[in-house]
Amino acid sequence: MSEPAVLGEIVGSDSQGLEIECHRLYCAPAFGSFIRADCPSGISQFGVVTCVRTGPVDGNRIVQAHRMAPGELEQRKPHLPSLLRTTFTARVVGYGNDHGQVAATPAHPARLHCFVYAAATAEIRGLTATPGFLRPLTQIPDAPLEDLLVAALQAAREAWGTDEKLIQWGKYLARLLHRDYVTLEGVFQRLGQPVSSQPGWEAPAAFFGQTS
Amino acid sequence: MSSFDPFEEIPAASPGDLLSPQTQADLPVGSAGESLGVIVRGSLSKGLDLKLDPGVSLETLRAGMFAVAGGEMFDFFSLVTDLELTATNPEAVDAPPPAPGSLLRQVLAGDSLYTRAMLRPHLMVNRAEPDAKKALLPVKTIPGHFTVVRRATPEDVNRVFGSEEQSPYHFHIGEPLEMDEIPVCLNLEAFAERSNGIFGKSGTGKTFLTRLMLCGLVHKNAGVNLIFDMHGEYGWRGTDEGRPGGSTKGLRELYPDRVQVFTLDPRPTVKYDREIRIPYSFLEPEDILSLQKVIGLTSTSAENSYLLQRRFGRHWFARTLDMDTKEVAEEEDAHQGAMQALRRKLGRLQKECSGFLWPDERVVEDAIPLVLRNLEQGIHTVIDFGRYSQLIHYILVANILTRRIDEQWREKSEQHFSDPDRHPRPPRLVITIEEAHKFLEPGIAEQTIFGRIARELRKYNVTLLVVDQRPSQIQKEVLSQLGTKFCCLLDDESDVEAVLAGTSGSGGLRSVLASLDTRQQALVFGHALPMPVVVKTRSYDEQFWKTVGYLPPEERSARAREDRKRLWD
Amino acid sequence: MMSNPIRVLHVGDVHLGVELYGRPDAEKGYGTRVSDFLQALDRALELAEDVDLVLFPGDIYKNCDPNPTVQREFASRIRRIGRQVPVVVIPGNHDVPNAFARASSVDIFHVLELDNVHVLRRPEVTPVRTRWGEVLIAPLPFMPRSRLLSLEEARGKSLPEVLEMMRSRLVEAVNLMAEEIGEYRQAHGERVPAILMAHYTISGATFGGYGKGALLAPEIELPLGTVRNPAFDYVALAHIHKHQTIPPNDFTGQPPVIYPGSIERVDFGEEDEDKVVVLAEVTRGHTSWKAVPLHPRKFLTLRIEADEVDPLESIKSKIEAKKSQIQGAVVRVFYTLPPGAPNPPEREIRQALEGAHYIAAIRRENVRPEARSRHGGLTTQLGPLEALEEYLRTQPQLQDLREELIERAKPLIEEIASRE
Repeated sequence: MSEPAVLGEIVGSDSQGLEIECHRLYCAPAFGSFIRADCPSGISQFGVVTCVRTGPVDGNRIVQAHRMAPGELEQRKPHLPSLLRTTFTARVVGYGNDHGQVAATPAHPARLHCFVYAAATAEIRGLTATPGFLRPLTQIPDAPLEDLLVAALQAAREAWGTDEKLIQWGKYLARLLHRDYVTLEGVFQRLGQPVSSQPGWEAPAAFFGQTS
Repeated sequence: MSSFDPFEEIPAASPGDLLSPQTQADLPVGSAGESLGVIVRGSLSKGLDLKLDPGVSLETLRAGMFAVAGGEMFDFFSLVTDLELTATNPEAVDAPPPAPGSLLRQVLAGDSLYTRAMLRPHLMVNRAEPDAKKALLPVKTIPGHFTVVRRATPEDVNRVFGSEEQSPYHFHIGEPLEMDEIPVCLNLEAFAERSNGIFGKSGTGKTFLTRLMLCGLVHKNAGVNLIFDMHGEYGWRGTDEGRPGGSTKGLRELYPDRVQVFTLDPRPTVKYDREIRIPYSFLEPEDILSLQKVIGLTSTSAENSYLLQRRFGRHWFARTLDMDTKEVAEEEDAHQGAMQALRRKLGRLQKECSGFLWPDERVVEDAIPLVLRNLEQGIHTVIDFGRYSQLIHYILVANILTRRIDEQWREKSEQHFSDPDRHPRPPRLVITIEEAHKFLEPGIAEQTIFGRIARELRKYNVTLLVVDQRPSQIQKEVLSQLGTKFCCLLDDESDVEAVLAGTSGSGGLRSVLASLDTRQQALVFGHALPMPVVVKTRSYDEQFWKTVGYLPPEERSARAREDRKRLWD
Repeated sequence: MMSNPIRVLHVGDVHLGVELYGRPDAEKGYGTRVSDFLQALDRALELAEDVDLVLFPGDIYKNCDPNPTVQREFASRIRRIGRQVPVVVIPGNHDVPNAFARASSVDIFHVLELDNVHVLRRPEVTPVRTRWGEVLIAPLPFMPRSRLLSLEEARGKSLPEVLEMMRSRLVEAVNLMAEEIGEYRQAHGERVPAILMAHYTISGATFGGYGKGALLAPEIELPLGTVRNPAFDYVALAHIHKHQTIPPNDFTGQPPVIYPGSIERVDFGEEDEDKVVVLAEVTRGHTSWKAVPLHPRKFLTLRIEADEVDPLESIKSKIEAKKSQIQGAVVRVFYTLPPGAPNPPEREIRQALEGAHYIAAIRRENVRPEARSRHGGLTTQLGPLEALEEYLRTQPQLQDLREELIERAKPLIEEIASRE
């Protein structure tokens, strides 16, 4: 089995969240997916991607529109990727190691520059064995709660390969969202629809001129 | 509506996980011993709230069903008194319902939308007490939060109600709800100690239940029966629409050697042992009082019969029929109209009862001493009314016979009390009356024999088995003296109220009572049972007859043939 | 075709061997009372000339051990009758020894296989041939309780339970016979009449003068409904000495249920009872019957209030007044005298009673206040006013006040009665 691809490295952290810069422009993990940050302590932290953004490396610069047709931009401004970066935020939902995972806030925030990977299926299962991972997800201000939950639950559901856990998570969510029945209803109506009927996620594609 | 705190700590395991997955897998849904959920709320005065596990099918639960809450020290035997659908999130019920089977439906079921069962604990069983009898305690406390509640098992039912093997008086009356083939037993000795009632609106199986209990009393020798059989249901044959020919066996057919039928209406279709003819002089003013409503007399008129008895003595009835009303009224300073009314109604009484109420000189055999002698010897006696099945006949005859029998029983009991060695106590006598409220309504119960028997309890070893559809019309004091009550379905709120008055936990029992099936189900509670129970009463059929000592004719003949060899050769 | 009715002579308790109130008769080898009983039996058997069947439902002898002379007398009669007409005998309680294996006193006829004499010891339907065809006899002989007690299932049972068992067995024995009769009729014709013979008390029977004491001992009573089974056409009973039908005065009910009563008086209690045998004409479905009187030995109790001044003379004159009744009767005399008065000589009273068959007693009954309640005439059957009259009758010193006392008592008694 090949080494999992590095998604990026931590550029900011606190107990609740991680700020990660992708090693490749536009190559962020999907919204709502599970990631793992490997820390030197041997304890990895796990998070769920809650926001992805791309912008200038230099904070003082302003990105302006070039008004060029597709294809023309790559030819006329090949240096452009080096001025941009893709970052994403992940909400910490748990920690663990090879022996197991718990859905709880780690004692210490992750170190900066730790590499971040997509969480493995077994790890997602470990984290989502109990529905506790959902609680931090419902507490993110300004996040599109319904979409986030749909995405995260879908990811977790795929890790388990069955819908059995989904009901259990749902019952927990029903309690978390007891004042927000609309969201609960939305989440489970969407999760209940066949996946094929939904537009697929846009697969992250390599940007021109970028080296791996 | 209960409030719900979304941030409360989630228990380590959901209630359904308290039983190991394997145990749960072993128990099919609805089976005995299945875990139902946990106690989430409760009080000693109001009962317990059981939150049902999501896996429990609500529709396998019944009001009146048994459930056992396994506390730390005690098992709390409870009846399910009510069931409730409830929502932690009212919006979930208000929003358009999710499609059946959908994820959302599954998510909501059992948690956001869940079901509660209200339980009324009626008995605590001390698990540490090896003596089964001592282990049963009245409920003085309640089990704690999250006490697991399960369906009762056969062993539970057995622990509470005993089995027929336990004592010679334990009698299998039926099965608990949803628990086929698990006998609920009633202690007939305790039963016969007090007056009892069988209630239910018409068509609910009161008659079958009465037959059942009578068979029990006969079979287990718990008392000797005198049955006033208004509609010919208990003696030789009775009606049963469900059987070929529409008839079923009466006691006389089941126990040809232990039951006798005395009839007011000798007719070839009925096997009877004796005819009953009542001489005029047996009539007492109190009989007229009992009949006043039936024959339409004011109480003033009815009470005039005392005056007439004073005037004419023993033969007052015969002489009243011939008297000059006007003259008597004047001489006795009585209201002439009232006197006339009385005279007229007594005339009607005489006419309507002329089949069996005869002038003294026409009556050659006073059957009452025979009834008495029968009863003394333990021969159960059915008084058959035949075509004289109107209330007027029934009340009159039951009153007259019972008064005389009661006198004798008192006398014999008093003799026994003063000299127990020489005078054996008369056997326990159980008198069955139907339409009991006509004998026991307020205003009448105070003055007639049945009221006295019901009130004076068991001192003289005479008790009543009252069968009625309008318990609310029975005098309250009488009703409160009834030891054990069988209640089939009752519609009228006041009847329900009356039957349950003075019973602990009557609130819960009320809903149980209201939810009984229309046939073959009864709520049974009182003296002869450790706790109330809803039973599917035993069927009155061949199977039953066999267990209460009936031998079909061929077997009976075979036994007699065998006995002939053993006893006479 | 109308079948001829079977004419049946039904004889009640014969009780040969009763010697009470009799004199020995050396010539005959038995006492005069035995002669009385034999005479009664002979009168009864005279009727046998015109019948088709003679029934003895038990209690032939006084006990199960009759003396040989008495046995001889009965045997010779039975034998004679048996030549003309079939005779059926079942053992009664006086005939059956408690140890069942021992023979009952009537077994001997069976053993000797006297022609036409059937001794039926077990409740099994037996066809008996008469000149008008067969009649089925369903016998229910007396069964001693010891027999039942020997059964395994009777062990440890209380007396009421044993009685209950006993009654139950007897009822079932009768039911079984009724069934067997039905089967017999199916095979041999529906018109065959059947007779139940039983030596038991049917509930509701009155014991009469003799055997009242028996009420104290627990008696098995059979329900009327059991014996009055339509399978039977006549129910021939013995055991109770008073002639009666069950229910009382039921002269037309079918099948008739009848005790002829004993053929002779045994004791004073039977003073007023007529002694009869019953002649019945039995057909299938209907039986008519009549009682034929037997003229038994008279029993007479004389209650005399002796005059204080001349007690002997007053007693003698009262006796004289009854002279015709005393002739040939068993007599007893009770007289009362106020305290202190000397007894009149008994010898003289005896002389006055000359012509009596036997003088059972001459007794003075002292009129003492505490003895009043024991006065023979005062019983609980009397109403208060009658009781007062009876009491005053025995109180010579109150004679003058008698009328007034009764007048005063009447309203009081009525008032009390109305209050109850």
